[in-house]
Amino acid sequence: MPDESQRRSDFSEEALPEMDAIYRFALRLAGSPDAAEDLTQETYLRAYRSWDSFTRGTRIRSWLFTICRNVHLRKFDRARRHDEILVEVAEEDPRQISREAGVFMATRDRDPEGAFWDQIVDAQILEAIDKLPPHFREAVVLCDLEDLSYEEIGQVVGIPVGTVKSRVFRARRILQESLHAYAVETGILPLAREGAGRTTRQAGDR
Amino acid sequence: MNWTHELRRLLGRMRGGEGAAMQRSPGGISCQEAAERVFEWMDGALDPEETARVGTHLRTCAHCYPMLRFEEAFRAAVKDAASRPGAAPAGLEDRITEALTGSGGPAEES
Repeated sequence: MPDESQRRSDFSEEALPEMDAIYRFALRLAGSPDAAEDLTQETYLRAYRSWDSFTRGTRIRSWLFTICRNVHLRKFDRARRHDEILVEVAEEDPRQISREAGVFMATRDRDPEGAFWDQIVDAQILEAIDKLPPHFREAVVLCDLEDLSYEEIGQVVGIPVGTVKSRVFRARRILQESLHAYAVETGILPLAREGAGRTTRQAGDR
Repeated sequence: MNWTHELRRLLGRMRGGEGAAMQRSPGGISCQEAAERVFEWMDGALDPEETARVGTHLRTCAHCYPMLRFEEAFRAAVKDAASRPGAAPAGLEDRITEALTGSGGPAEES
């Protein structure tokens, strides 16, 4: 076994450059900067203890995400069980969801290419992400924050790729609904004209 | 299967019927299919053959191209927001390094 300081410096060299990404992920999981700092530190301590079980050559970032998530879940085990019940209800066939999903259809007459998304302030988007049920939140954060593939997300979360797919899909649809509501409320997006929806939908169906 | 599922399935079929009249051509898939797979396509989660078919449809269908732009604009906004803060707070690295130094070696816990 290599001596302890060598082991520690190996670990630091590989793992510490990922700290910003882990912190951002922790922030979305834990909610507050203080809690995210604690969670990040705890993640690194656990990772260091398990350093010998890390397979060299695999993506260390995914491995750290997995540990971070586990540490977080262990802390909030009760909340997690509750959340799982919610997810069972919420996880439906994506095909069904896509038929219902209407933000594009609802705004196409006013803003067909979604220019309004860019006008929504980051803080509002983050707030909407934080309001997502945890399983959807982590899926969309891992996908959009760090460009993890569906396979990698599946490994981090411990779910099949098909489930990742439907969670990412569902998460984005929920986010769109909530940000669309915000955009309308704040006047970023003008209100639909009376009766305009029906006319455009027919035009679009062709 | 209970009756609500059955009802949904039938409703879905009816809507699918409308969709079929919509358009079938680009990439050999319907607009409905393209809408269902747009995120998978954007996330690079489809196999090469599907990627080509869905991509052809999304880029050449007059109805679906704006939808693609719309979904891309949405994803870009989320990505942009989610990548903040760009860095962990100053001092966190030192805090971790210090904790590591004080921490035990491998397999301290069960």
